[in-house]
Order: sequence, then C-alpha cells, then structure tokens
Amino acid sequence: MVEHAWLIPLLPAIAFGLTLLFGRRGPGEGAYIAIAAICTSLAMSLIVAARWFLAGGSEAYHGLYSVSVPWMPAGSQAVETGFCIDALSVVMLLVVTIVASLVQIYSIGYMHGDPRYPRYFAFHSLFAAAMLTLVIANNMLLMFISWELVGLTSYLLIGFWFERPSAMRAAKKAFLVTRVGDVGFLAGMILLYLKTGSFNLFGANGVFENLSRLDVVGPFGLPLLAVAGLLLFCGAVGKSAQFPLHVWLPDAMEGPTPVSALIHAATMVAAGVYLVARMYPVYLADSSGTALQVVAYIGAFTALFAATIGLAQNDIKRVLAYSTISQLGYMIMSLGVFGYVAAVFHLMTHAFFKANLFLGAGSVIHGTGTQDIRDMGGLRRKMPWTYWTFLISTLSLCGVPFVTAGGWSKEEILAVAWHTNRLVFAAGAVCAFVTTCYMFRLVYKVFHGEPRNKDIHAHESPRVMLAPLVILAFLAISAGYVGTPWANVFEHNMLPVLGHSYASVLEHRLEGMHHGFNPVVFFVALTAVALGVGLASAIWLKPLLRIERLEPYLGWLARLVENKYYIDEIYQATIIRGLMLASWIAFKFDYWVIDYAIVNGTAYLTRLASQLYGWFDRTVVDGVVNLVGWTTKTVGNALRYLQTGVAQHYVFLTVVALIIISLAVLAGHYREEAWIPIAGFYR
Amino acid sequence: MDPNCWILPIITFIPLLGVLIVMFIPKEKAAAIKAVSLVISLIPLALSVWLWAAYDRSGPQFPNGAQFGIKLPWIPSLGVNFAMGVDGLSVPLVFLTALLTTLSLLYSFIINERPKEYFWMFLLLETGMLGVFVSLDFVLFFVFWEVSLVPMYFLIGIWGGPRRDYAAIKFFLYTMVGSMTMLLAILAMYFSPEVTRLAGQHTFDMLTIAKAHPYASNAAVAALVFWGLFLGFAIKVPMFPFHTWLPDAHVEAPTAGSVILAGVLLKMGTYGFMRVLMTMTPFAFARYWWIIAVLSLIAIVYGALVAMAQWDFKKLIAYSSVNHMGYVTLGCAVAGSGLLASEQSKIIALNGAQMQVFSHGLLTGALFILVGIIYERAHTRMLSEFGGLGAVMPIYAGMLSFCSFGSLGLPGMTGFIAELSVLTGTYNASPVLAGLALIGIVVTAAFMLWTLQRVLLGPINPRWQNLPDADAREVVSLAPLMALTLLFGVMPGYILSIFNAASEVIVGILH
Amino acid sequence: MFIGNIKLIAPALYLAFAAAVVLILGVIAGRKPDKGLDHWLPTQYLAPALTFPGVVYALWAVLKSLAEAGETVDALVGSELVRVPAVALFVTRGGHAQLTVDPFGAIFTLIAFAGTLIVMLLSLDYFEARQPHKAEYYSLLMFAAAAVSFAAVASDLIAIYLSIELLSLASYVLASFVKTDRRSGEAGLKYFLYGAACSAVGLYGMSVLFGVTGGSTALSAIARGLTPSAVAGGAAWVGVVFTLVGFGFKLALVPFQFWAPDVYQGAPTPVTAFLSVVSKAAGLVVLVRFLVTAVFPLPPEHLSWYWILVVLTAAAMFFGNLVAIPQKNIKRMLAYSSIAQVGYLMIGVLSALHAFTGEGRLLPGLWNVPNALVRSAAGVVHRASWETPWDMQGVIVYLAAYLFMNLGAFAVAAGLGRRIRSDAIDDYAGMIHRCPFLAASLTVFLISLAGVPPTAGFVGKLFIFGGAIQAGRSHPELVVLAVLGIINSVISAYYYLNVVRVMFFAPANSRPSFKVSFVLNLVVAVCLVGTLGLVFAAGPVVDFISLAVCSLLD
Repeated sequence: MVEHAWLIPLLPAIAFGLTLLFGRRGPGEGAYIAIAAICTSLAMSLIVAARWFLAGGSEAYHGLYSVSVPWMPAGSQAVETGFCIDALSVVMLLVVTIVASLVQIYSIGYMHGDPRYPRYFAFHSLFAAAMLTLVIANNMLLMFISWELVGLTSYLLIGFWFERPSAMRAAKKAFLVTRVGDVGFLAGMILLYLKTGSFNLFGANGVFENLSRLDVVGPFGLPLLAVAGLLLFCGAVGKSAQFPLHVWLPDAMEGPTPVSALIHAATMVAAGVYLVARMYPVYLADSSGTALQVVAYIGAFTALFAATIGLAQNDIKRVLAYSTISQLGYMIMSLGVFGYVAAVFHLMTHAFFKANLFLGAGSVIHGTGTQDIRDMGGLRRKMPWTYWTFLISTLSLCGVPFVTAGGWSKEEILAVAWHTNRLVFAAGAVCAFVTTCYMFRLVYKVFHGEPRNKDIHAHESPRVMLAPLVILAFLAISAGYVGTPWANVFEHNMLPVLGHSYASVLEHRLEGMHHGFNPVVFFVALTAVALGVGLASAIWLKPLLRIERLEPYLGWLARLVENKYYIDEIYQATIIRGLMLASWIAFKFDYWVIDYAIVNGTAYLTRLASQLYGWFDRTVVDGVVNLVGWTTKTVGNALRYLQTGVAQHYVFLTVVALIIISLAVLAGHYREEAWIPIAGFYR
Repeated sequence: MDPNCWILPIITFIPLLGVLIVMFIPKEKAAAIKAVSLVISLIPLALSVWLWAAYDRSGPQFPNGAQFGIKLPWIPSLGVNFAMGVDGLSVPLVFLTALLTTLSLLYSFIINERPKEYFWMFLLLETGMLGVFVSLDFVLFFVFWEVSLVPMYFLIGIWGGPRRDYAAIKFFLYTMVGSMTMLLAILAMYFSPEVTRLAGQHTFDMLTIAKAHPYASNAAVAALVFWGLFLGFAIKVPMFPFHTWLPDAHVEAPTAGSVILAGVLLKMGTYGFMRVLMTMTPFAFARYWWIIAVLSLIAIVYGALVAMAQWDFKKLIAYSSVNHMGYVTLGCAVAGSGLLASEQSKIIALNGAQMQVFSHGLLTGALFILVGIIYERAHTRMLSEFGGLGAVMPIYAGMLSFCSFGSLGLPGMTGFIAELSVLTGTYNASPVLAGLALIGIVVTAAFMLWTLQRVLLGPINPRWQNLPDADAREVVSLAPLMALTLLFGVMPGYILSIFNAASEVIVGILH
Repeated sequence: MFIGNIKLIAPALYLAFAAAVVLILGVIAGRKPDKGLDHWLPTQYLAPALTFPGVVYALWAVLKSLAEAGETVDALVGSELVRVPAVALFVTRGGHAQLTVDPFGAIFTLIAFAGTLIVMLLSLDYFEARQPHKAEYYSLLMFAAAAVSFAAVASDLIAIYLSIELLSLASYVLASFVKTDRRSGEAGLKYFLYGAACSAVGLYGMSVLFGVTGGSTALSAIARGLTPSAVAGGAAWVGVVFTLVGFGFKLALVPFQFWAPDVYQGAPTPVTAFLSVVSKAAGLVVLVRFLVTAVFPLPPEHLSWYWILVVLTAAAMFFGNLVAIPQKNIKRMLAYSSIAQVGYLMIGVLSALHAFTGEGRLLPGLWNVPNALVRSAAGVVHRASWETPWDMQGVIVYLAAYLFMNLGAFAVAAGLGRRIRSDAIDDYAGMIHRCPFLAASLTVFLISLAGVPPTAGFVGKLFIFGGAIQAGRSHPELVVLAVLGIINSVISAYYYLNVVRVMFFAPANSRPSFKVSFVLNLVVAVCLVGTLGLVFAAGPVVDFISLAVCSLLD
C-alpha cells in the first residue's frame, strides 16, 4: 500500500474533474463523488499509517519510503519528481484526510441549496488533492507546485460567493499576500537547487545530504544556509499568516465557514509549519542558528500579537481567525526553539480542535444567521450539541492540561521553550493566558447569558453537521494521548524523520532537557489557563469587573487593538498605493515619453522634415525663381513670353547648384587634404 | 536525399496553395471560403504533428545540422539556397504556428466583412510564419520574415478597430526598421572573412554562418552586426523600449490577428534571438548580455506595471505580453551570458525561455480569443464596465480564469515551468537580477487577479444579465490551447526534451 | 577610322530603321485616317509588332555576346570569374574605341527595348480613343529606344553626347505630345528649356575635358590623359563636374531634378513611365561608363568629386522620399519617388566604383585598353575566386526590378487615371472594390518599390545594400549610405503604403466598379510577373547579369 500512496491525492483530483464537469448530474449533485473520493483517501491513509507504524522499529528509524521518476530534462541531467512516506507525511495525511472528509460531510448540510453546490465540492476535492500532494512530495519542486495549487483553491473558495465585493477582494488579497511569501519560497528553493544540484530532498544526491555546500558566507554576512532557511520561511510566513503577512487570513473568513475550517484553520495554513518542519535539516545545518532565531521571534510575536487582536473582535469567525494566526505563531515559535516534534504535535491537535471550533461557529451561524457575537447569547440551551463540542475544543485550545489534546501539545512546546529560550517561554505563557481570555469571552458571549437579539430564532443544526462536530470533539481530547510525556509515541516516530545526522544535531541542541513531565511548565500552563478563565468570567460572565470604566485611560489601546493595529491601513497607504502609483507613472511614461515623444516624435519629425522640404521646394525654390523671374521681366528678358516663368528659373537654380559644386570640387582640389575630413581615409 | 526532406516545403507552401484555391472561389460563397481555408490549414497542422512525432530528439541540432533538411540551389553564384530544416528550437514552433492558425481560422468564422480577402491573407500569413521557422538560409529567412509582415498589415488595416490606420502603419514601419537593420547585419555576416574561409565562398547558409562565428576576431564589427540583428529581433519581440507598436497593433487588430500576432509573430523575434543572435554572434552576446538582461528585467516589471494601469482589456493583455516576453529574453540573456555560471543553469534558462515562448503562444492566444468573445457580445472592452460575469457566463469564466492563472505562472501549467527555469538560470547568473524579476511575478499576479475580479467577480451589471455563455465553436477554439497548457505543465518532459537538445548545443557554443 | 563589325549594334540600327518605317507609313496613311493603309495596318499595332523583334533581337545579342566567352560560360556558374571580351567599334587612333559593344551595354539595350515595348502597349490603352499623329508618337518612342541603345555602347564623348541628344529631343516632343492639354505642352517646353541648358553645360564640360586631356574624346583616352600634371590646374575637375551635370539631368539626380515633378505630372502617363525608366537607364549607363572608364582610375587625392556624389546620393534619397510624403497626386508622388530611387541606384554605382579599383580586388583593364591608371603599389592584384562583385550587378538587377515595378505602377496610374479622370490619390479610395486586379497589382508594385519581399524591389535592394556593405569594409562611407538607404526605405514605405491604405482600408463605397482593356491587363500582368518572378528566377538572372558585369571588368 505504501508504494501506491500516490493514489491518495490522485483520487480527489479525479473527483475534481468529474464533479466540475458532470457534478450537476452526479450523485448528490456531485457531493457524493467528492466525499467518496476523500473517504477512500482517508481509508488508504489509515492503511498507509498502519503499515508504516507497524513496520516500525528499525525500518521506521532508518528508512523512509521514497520514489522518484524523471520529470523534465535539464541539460544532461533530469529533474525528478516523486513522493515519500515517513512519519511526518503520515501524520499530515491523516490530519488532512480526516478533517477534509468530515468537513465535506458537514458541508452537505451547510451548503445545502447553494446554486454552485457541485462546484463547491469540486474545489474541495482539488484542495484535498493539492494538499495531499504537498504532504507526500519528496522534492521541493512538487512541494512548491502543490503549495501554489492549495493557494489557488484557497482563492477559489474564499471567493466562492464572488458576487459579494468583500469576498472577491478577500480572495484576491489572500492569493497576493501569500504569493509574496511564495516568492521567497521559490527563491530559497532555487538557491538550494543551484547549490546542491537537486530538487530532491532525500537520498545521497538529495538536498539534505549536500547541505554542507551551502556552508559559506552569503549576502549581508549571513551564512548561505541561513539565507536559504529565511527564504523558505518567507513561504511559511505567507501561508501560515505570520506577521507581517498575516493580513489575509482574517479577511479570508469571507469564504463559506466549512472552507474556513478546513483550509484556513486546520490544513492549508498549517502548511507553512509543515514546510519549515519538512525542511528542518536546512535550519539545523545552520550552525549560527540565525534563521531559527528569526523563526522563533516571528512566531512568538505573531502568537501574542494576534491573540491581543482576538480579544477585541466581534465577528465569531474573526476571533477564531486571529486565534488561528496566534496558534500558528505558537507552532512556528516552537520550531524556532528546536521544538520540532512539539510543533508538529501541536499542528495535529490544533487541526482537530480548530476545525471543530470553526465547524461549531458554522453551526452557530447556520442556526442564527449572523456572525456578530453581540447579537448572540444564551445559545447553549438552543444548540446543546454545538455548545458542548465547542466548549471541549475551546478547552483544548486553551490547553487545559491532562484532559485535552491541546494541553499535551502546548505543554510540550512550553517545555522545550523553557529549556532553550526563556523569553520565548514567557511569550508563550502570556499567549496561553490571552488565548484563554478571548476564547472564554467568545464562549460566554455566544452561548451564555440571555439572547441579546430577539429577532434571531436560533435552532440546532441537522445531524449531518453535528456528527462531524462530535467526531472532532472526540479527537480534540483523545489525539493528545499519542504524545504524553510519559509515553511519547509521537516523538519516537517523529524524530527519525530528520534522519540520523540531523536527529542527533537536534538531540544535541536539546541536551540536558528534562524529558518527561515538567512540573514547572505544567504549573505555569495551568496558572495561565486558570487566570484566563477567571478574568474572562469576571468580565463577561459575571460582570464583576467593568472594563467600560477604563475607557478614558485605555480607550486608545482598545481602538488600536480593535483596528488590528492599523496594519491593513498601513499596507493600503504604502504598498498598495505605492504600487498603483508606480503603475500609473509607468503607464504615463510609456504613453507620453516612449510612445508619444520618441516613437511618434520621430514620425512627426520626419513629416515635419517632409513639410519643410516641400515648403522649401515650393517657397524658396519658387521664391528665388520668382525673384529671378521678376528680375528677368524687369530687364526685359527675351524669354518673357513664357508665362509661367518657371523653367528658366529651374535652370537658374541648377546653375547655382553647379557653381557651388564646382567650387567645392575645386576647393577640394586646391587643398592639401581633401575638404571632407573622412576623405583622408583614402590614403 | 532523405525521402522526408520534402515535408518542410510542403508544410510551408500548402497554405500558399490554399491562397490560390481561395482566390478562385467566388467571394459570394463565404461559407465555402471559410470551410476550405479551415480544411487547408488542417493539413500543415497534421503534418506538423507528424513532424513532432517523427523528429529525432537525439538527432543533430543547429548549428551542427538539422533534420528533415532540404537544400536546393536558388542563386548559386551568390551562395543563396532554398534551404530548410528543423531542430529542437523550431519543431514546437512549427506546431504552434499551425495550431494557432487553425484555431484562429475557426474563430474567424464570425468574419463577414470581405471574408475572401481575410481568409487568403491569413493563409498567406501562415506560409510566411512557417517559413521563418524552417528556413536555414538567410535570404529565404528574410523573405518569409517580411512576407509575414504584409498580410498582418492588411489584417489590422482592414478588419481592425477604430484607430486601425494608425496601428497598421505603425506596426509596419516599426518592424520594418528592425528588419532593415537586420538585413544589413545579415549582409555583413555574409561578407565576413570567417564565413568565406569556412565555406570557400560567400554564403547565406545559416548553418555555415553559425559555425563560422562571423567577425569573431573583430570585436568592433561583431558588435555592429550584433546590434543590427538585435534591433531587428528586439523590435519584433518586442523588448522595452521598442514595444509601443505592440499595444496599438493588438488593440486594433481583429481577434484572430491578435492571436497570431501574440502567438507567433512575437515568437519570430525570440526565435531570432536563439537561432541567430546566440549562435552567430555568441561572443558579442556574451559581452553585451547584461544590456539584454537589464532591458528584459525592465520589460518584466515595467510591463506588468503598465498592464496594471490599463482599462482596456485587450491592451492589458498586450502589455502582459511585454511582461512575458521579458522572461524569454531574460532567459536568452542569461544563457548566452559570458559569466562562468554553470552550464547546467544556462541550459535550464534557455529551456525556460523556449518553454515561455510556447506557453505564451498558447495562453496569450487563448486570452485574446477570450477578449474577443466578450467584445463580440458586449461591444466594449472597458474593464470598468464589466463585473460579475462569472454568474452569467460560467463556462467563459472558467476558461478565462484558467488562462489567467496560467498566464500568471500557476504551477501545473506551462508558464510556471518556464518562469521557474528562467529564474533558476538568472539566479545563478545574478541573484540581484533574479530578485528583481521575482517582483515582476507578484505584480503579474496582482494585475491578472485584479482583471479577473473586474471582469468576472462582484455584483453583476444588469446590462450583461442576458449575455450568452461561450458557444461550442468558441470552446473548441480554446480547448486545445488549454489542454496543451495543462498537458505540458504537468508533463513538461515531453516538450522540454525537445528544447533541451537545442539548448545544450547553443549553450555549448560559448562553454 | 576603322569600321568594325556593324552587326554588333544591329539591334539599335534595327529599331531606328523600324522607327523610320513606322514614321513613313504613318505619314502616308495619315492622309486618309480610318481608311486605306491605316485601316489594315494601324500604326499603333505596327509599332509594337516591329519593336517586339527588336526586344528579341536585343536579347539574342546579349546572349550572343555572352556566348562569345565560349566554354567559360558554364564555369562562371561555379563562381569562376570569366572575362568576356568586349568588341570595339570605330576604333580611333591610339586604339581608343568610340563604341564598345559588350554584354554590359547589351543588357541596357535589352532593358530599354523591353521598357519601350511595355510603354507602347500601355499607350495603346492610354490613347485608345482616336489619337492624332500616332505614327510620330510611336516612331519617336522607337527612336528614343534606339538612342538609349546607342548610349549603352557609346564610349566616346561625342557618341555619348549624340545619343543623349537624340534621346532628349525625342523625349521633349513626347512629353508635350497631347497638344490639347495645356500642362502637357508646358511640360514639354520646360523639359526642353531645362534640357537644353543642361546639355549645353555638359557639352561645355566635355570640351574642357577634351582640351585638358590632350585632344581626345574617347573615354579611355581621357582616362589616360588625366595625369596628375593634367589635373593640376583644376580645370579638369570643372570639366568632370560639368559633364556629370549633363548625365545627372537625364538621371534626375539631385540637384538636377527640378524638371522631373512638373514634367512627370504634365506629360502623358505612358511618356512619364518612359522617362522614369528608359530614359533613366540611358543616363545611368553613360554615367557608369564615364566614371568607370574615364574618371575613377585617378590618383586618390583627386577624388573630391567622389564625395560630392556621396553627398548627392544621400540628398537624392532624402529629398525624393521626404517630398513624396505630402504629395496628393500619384504621378507627382511617383516622380519624387523615382528621384529617391535614383539615390539607391547611385549607392550601387558608388560601390561599383570601388569594385573596379579597390586594392586587393580587381585590376581595371578597361575596355580593351591595354593599360589604365592603377593605384596598387604592389602591382600584383588578384581577385579571389569567390569574390563576386555585387555592386555593378546590383545596379543592373535594381534597374531590371525598377523596370517592372515602376512601369507597373505607372501603368496602373495611367489605366486608372484615364478611367476615373483623376490622378489624385484620394480618388483611389476603395479601388480594391472597383477594380481589384489593378489595385492589387499596384499594391505589389508599391510594396516592391519599398523593397519588401518577395518582390523584385527586395532583390534589388539586397544587391544594392550588399554591394555597399561589401565595399564598406574598406570604404565606411558606403555603410553610412546603406544605413541612410534603409532609413529611406522605411520613410518610403510610409507614402507607398498610404496609397495602399486608401485603396484597401476605405470602406466599400458606392462608386461603380469597372473593367479595363485586355492590353492594360496584359501590361500590368507582365509587370506583375516580372516583379514577383525576379525573386524566384533570381538564380539564372543573376548569373546572366554577372556575366555581363564581368565584361566591364576586362
């Protein structure tokens, strides 16, 4: 089965074609084709996973299944393409297929009655195909291709309701902003290819075995490895919505909510984390650690920064979106502090609980018809299933220890940070606190209290939507038990992915770290959650603290946060305006200078010269002629009978020309040198 | 003589035969004229497919030799021959030309004004274009080069838009400047002592001239020859700052004319870069490569910026051609650069340039047809007047999106392979250049998406509520282009192996 | 005086005789128009019928003079240099020839005869209605053609002067032939006055040369007489320049072109066609002979007149093309265009000069003259076997192309002008609908005049610029001229295409379409075949011309 893993992305790809072309006539208006495909992929992924882990032991540790075939020639060599199966891709396969199949099932209910229903499922299948390709690619080229294709499907699905101007703008923004990052990925990929001579990651000729060739000083005094790492990280920054390219993700909530759950919470946005994890040897090989430090601080900053914005949002999906940015920052941060395993672990748990949260939000939106949490309240009675699953995943997101999956993964990240970088650890702890605050604010505002808008008659969603919620809620708790500090199966299988040499580098970096249960970290995490819950309850559940009173003192801060630190406005004023201005200037330059002044100017001058010649022909020639004619007439010339008086004037001009030419020739003759300078050439 | 040697003259002159046939059909029988033209254009298409299949990828490449070669005396005392042959550089272009002509003719069935003249001129144009790509003698090459100019002048001038007079004459004169300097440069190469020493007499034979490296020992004259040729090709490409004829010509030309103009005529310029400039004046090329590279880079970024400022859909696509052709010339510049960059990366760059040529032919051809479809229905091309067409014309919207994403270099389509390869080569030659070119990628994506948004997305303008979707004829005109874009984007090896052989030889000249 | 083999100039003599026959018959028949002799032997048909054998004869003469090179003809095709002996007639004392019959001259004869025949056929259409004095008209054309033929072999100042005068006199009358048209009369008179003046200047220059070089009129003798001591006083140069004026007038070379626009516009269109091609051929051939034989083999410090010619060549191209742009009348436009075309021809002539004297190239053994002034210091000058002279071939190829394309353009202008009663370009609007064949043909001729392939004009330009580039390796000013030439090609394309634009791009208007006579279609078709065929037949044609040019070299 492992050797046929390429079928896993292929099935949804076929489903995409079928659904797009014949969806309307297909079973379930095409939805069943897509769901059948993704469920088959899920089953195959499970088999692959089972085979992979059962093979276990030495094989899992030393080897990985990787196949390459020639794809295109490049000079005497050939660029290859292929796929690989290792623990990382297995985890990603499972995450993607599970979430994707659940979300598609959920969509049957959520998208019911949409005029472009088949197309929706087609795009979903395309996304699954691209995403699954991304996670099993064994070379950078195929990774980049599928990377871009998931970007395309993201664009298509964000703009699914393209009649809404906000949706179409959000789609464009998402594609463009991520593409800015992708350019970095592309550059990093080309750099690695040129230096190592391969796009392939594994094998003796692969990138990872030849990273030493990049161990030289590059531009700005940075090691070339750091440059490559940072360039690749640009791609992650774009895709995983890290600061400063995070601006697209909140807007991407314009898409249908299941899309947000699948693409903009669970899978695609985690691709950046996956990228850095997959390319982790590049970062490990950089002995200066520059790239990883940048990764760590960008991640930590993003985690905190987005969490604070999450506090002040009133759109249920936007809160979750900023939460996603923040959690992605958490993972990135973890990668930056050598928490390679922890990051992937958190990626997995996050996928489940965040997908659940989004689907829950979708259920709420479906039930209430609004996204504004100020219009909600008291929904826990009307939508009990939604409420309980939502709450479970909230706890998981907050990282409640022992009982939730998020607790295990978050605690592992904090443990690594505690060992390697206390500053990052502090940021992580504060972030955990803020996360709890905004999540419980959300829960209280949506589900507790009394309904604030009497016009909304909420109802529970259909079962086809609730079933995925339940499954995901289950996973949001249980998925963490593969990586408890006491029996860390996850780490055991994940570390070998790096290969012997790089795994030992990583182990060397984490030398002395307390493997297993870390009480300090546990205590800090628990305190952060408890404080967060307490503060949120004090403000939004039982109004003990009245934050309105702080308005005169901290109002500016609130406005700053509410407006997302004005990052969008800054971009609008600088980059977008700048681009439009540059475009306008270039166009005017093209129109007026190049085309009008130079090209048409040449034509105009030629015409002008022709007019001048013509004028000369008419006026000067005829003028001289008339003068002569007048003279000849006055002196009573014999040729006077010729009325036109022209022919003899032509003769006159000819004589003039003749005299000039004769004089010139004679002048040339009487001078030592010929009179035209270049005539000297003849000697 | 190789029994297959007649294939190239046959491919080239079948359309000319078509011209004669069409001339004898009374002009009242428009349907017959259209059908006959289309059927005739299918013959070179079928033969070019056969050519592709029969072509030996490991066979001789220019200037070491050519396949399906034929050489008959024409003006023997001057060393002028009727010489034809193909290599990896030209086989895909022959196919592209035949394909685009057939599709253009199919699309042109809507032409009801003076159809007879239109169709025979189109066939004449095809002969000229095919001839350029298969000629191995400079006089023949030049004759075809110019033959393709005249029908296009008429196509723009008779069936063009409101400013067709201006656009037609501008196109003709501008490109004529280039072809005339090219002619002088060709003559200079003809009289070069190296060529005569090698051949024993003066000759216009391109293989011989390329092998001889005219004026290799005389840098000053070589530079003159180089710039003469360069101007000819650069105007045709068109490179910044010689590009301003292009938007006018494109905007005023009838749809099929734009397709051919963008799809094939521009390719004659880049073909000249690879076939003539890089092989015949390699040393001058290696010395001045950076000028070409910088101009290409300007074309990439500047072309995209100017495209972004357009409000006429067709002009926007025209400027995007400037942007796209920038990658081709950049790839050529890098591949022929005098830098000690690895041979491998230069080959990749040249492969990318060729891929971009092919890709741009397919995609921009398709985009012009798409603009034509919408113009024909709405009688306007102003982007500001559209919006929301995605809801009423879903098939059209799908095709336009497909082609736009292909054009902005989405992986899985040919444009990506091309841009990736060119950038890889450029990166090796100069990371700074590559970095700047990467900016162009983002700007290209920006204006392409913005265009899609302005045409397809958003609330529907009630004026277009009843616009019919693309019909079968239009879909058939577009489907082959899109299919090939996808096919060669997913399986680039099939076409790149053809390019690669040619690139290896061309890059090998300097290395 | 020795009278040589008179058969060698038989084509010219034949045409002169035939002209006399036509004239006499016409005078006899003219007494009773539409009756008797003229009825069953109309002059307008008799004249072309008699001219056609002349053309064939001229062709045969060319082939025969080439064939006298015997077995070497085949060898040339393999790029071997073949020296074809010229035959001297009327050799004066000192062994200088007055007439030199060589393939070079024979080709000009052929071009002149063929051109005249085409003009005659065109006249049949143009004067389709009753034409008075038609016998005189046709016989004058034939006399003029004979004169060109004489000019083509003349290698003596007297012979040159006489043949040019004969041509001029016939031309003056032809230009003013339509007595009822005021402008035609005016054109003839202007032409006459101007021509008389130029001819006087030319004759004066010849007499100066005669005096300075020691009392001989033969070109080869003049070449020998122009020793450094003979030219020391400068008078010789005045003589050269004045003589050139006489030729430049025939050629309408700037600044002796003033007559051309008025005369071209005023004269009957077939006559204009004749003047623009056949008459120019005469000017060209005597200019080339004069320069190559008499003047160019001179010490290099005395070449300032060469630079004058370079400047005049450039001026001719620019003047002709630029002034042609704003013209509204097609005949006037073509007049200016032909002034520019002379510039291209002059590039060929100037490059040819170097081909005959350039170091490392060919020794000028001119016209059977045993020795000429040679600049080579080494004394041993050889010509590599692959070295093909492009330049002089270029002049002839261009002239041949020009014959077809320019005559074709005038033929269409004549045919259309007669039918739409206008020569204004604007009145050609939509002509493609009214008279498709003529409009399409005119397009081909104009494109050919602009030098765009696949037309004869392109082949001509290829040769002209090729020759300039070839000579330009040692004489960069010719490269400059070539560059100016291509700039002018582009400028000229503008106004040529303007006519095409008017004919094609204007929407079909309601003006009626019309058919034209068979003979006009025939003329246009012949020109069309020539214009398009030259590209395909370039191989044999060039070989043929190469042989002819080689005769100049020995």
